[in-house]
Amino acid sequence: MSSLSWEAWIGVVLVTLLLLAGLLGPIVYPVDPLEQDLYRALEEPSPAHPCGTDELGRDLLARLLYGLNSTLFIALAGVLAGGWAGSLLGLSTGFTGGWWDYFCMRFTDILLAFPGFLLALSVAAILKNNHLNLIVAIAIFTIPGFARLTRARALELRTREYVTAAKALGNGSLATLYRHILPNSLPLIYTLTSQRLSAALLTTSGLSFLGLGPQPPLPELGAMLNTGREYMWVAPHLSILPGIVLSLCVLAFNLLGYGLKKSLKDNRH
Amino acid sequence: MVRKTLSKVLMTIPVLIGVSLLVFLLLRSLPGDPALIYLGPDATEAEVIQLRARMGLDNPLALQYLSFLGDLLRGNLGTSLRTGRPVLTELWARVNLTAQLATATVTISSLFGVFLGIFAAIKPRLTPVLLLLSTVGISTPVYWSGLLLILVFSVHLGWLPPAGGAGWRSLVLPVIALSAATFSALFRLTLNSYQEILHEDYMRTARAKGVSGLRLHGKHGLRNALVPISTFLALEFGNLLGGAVLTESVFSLNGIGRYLVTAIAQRDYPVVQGAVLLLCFLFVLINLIVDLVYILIDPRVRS
Repeated sequence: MSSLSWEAWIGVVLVTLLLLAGLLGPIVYPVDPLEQDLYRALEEPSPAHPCGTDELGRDLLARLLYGLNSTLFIALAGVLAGGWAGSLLGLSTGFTGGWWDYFCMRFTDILLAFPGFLLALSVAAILKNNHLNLIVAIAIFTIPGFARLTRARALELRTREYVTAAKALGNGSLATLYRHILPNSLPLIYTLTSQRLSAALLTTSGLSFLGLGPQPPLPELGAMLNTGREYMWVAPHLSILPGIVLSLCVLAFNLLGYGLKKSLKDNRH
Repeated sequence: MVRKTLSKVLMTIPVLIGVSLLVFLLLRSLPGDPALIYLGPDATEAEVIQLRARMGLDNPLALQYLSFLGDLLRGNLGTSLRTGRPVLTELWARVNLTAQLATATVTISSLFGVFLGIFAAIKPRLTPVLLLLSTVGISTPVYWSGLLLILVFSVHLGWLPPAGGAGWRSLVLPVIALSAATFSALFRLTLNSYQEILHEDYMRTARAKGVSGLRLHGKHGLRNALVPISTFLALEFGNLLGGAVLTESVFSLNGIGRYLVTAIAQRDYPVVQGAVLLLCFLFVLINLIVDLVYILIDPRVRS
């Protein structure tokens, strides 16, 4: 991990900035994102409202910062939960094999038969629309990909000499898994996490774009885009600004992911 | 080769059964009584009980699943709770548009993506610019680039319609928005795999034999790049089918995706079930086709 590419560095800087904006933004810019002022609805950016106001006269900058916060939180929590669940599943099945492996892989086959966004959509559709359930939908959407790739890694590591040695020394499966297989799979898990985060961000805001996320008046970037769509003729900033913030987030995690993948590849050769 | 093909085809059956079971269970856990949704809030209790019995909702879950599976095999996806029309008819009327969007996107982006990817690997002068553009392309959500396109080409310039219903003209903007993302991903993939292919022994051998230009890259290079490219295209076709939900909502197009979103909002569960199953079925079918294409293009898979 010592030699990160320039892509990864730009990614790191962008991710840090966005996380800071999401976390500290609401403190540094203490304007209530829910306070309405119908006399000042759909205003363009001005000194009083740096990003203008929305259809109910709410401050758009404050809503963008809160929206960024909630989108990032949902995507991060979902990918971390789904990523760890998927990795544990993949590593354990790849390492032990047998009927457990067979059963789990047929199950991921079924999950992978849902095209792209549809798995998260199906899960989100049957749950009530709030933060927690969106996280569950993102987590389930994340599991199969992680399970597949970490399983392949475990299959590869299983035949290594140090694993055979650990077994010969009388270590149990669980201990070997924890001490040898998991640490050697961490670079892959980190890379996957970063890559899947961009997909999770797109899925999170996609679901709330369709009205399956946190319900109004709570701000979320995708939901804000959907509202902006109705006011495109009179107030284009309502659909342009949330999109820029969202794309920057996805770009940041994509760059980080590419950079990490590259260094992962270089380290293996 | 025949055995290989047959086993690939047979392998899809347990997956499809699993998908149908999962969708069945997911949809049965939806809140709200389907009989009540169908009859509306004014229905008497006796009517609801009668309809529940007729719809088989009082039977054990396993029995319900088996009758659902039986209906499915006979091509019966049930009737919409809102319109009372057969789900399959409703879906059939809309699948065309969704498939057209996906096919046009895959065709356009694979032409440009593969060509430019190979070009960028051979002549690296423009590669950084193309890489930058494709990174931006991958990171832009389709439901946002779609909005921007509508803003420029419909609201300001008035060249193209902002919504569906205007024939092929309403498909231009959605296809551009979708192709930008798909092209970007495919370009990166082709570039990466072709950069590796250029260093392979068979390319050096071909060059040493005096093969060059179109013959070298077409016959020796592209053919080897086709395996990762077709894997990606199958996956991307799935993404386009699933993502149709978003595109069709942005551009107000009457495809399966928008129908599905409306059905979710209305709790019309036979429609949700049917649409999800149809999209999964199409995706499994495409994956199967690509698996079979591998057998054709890659002699190593045949044995």
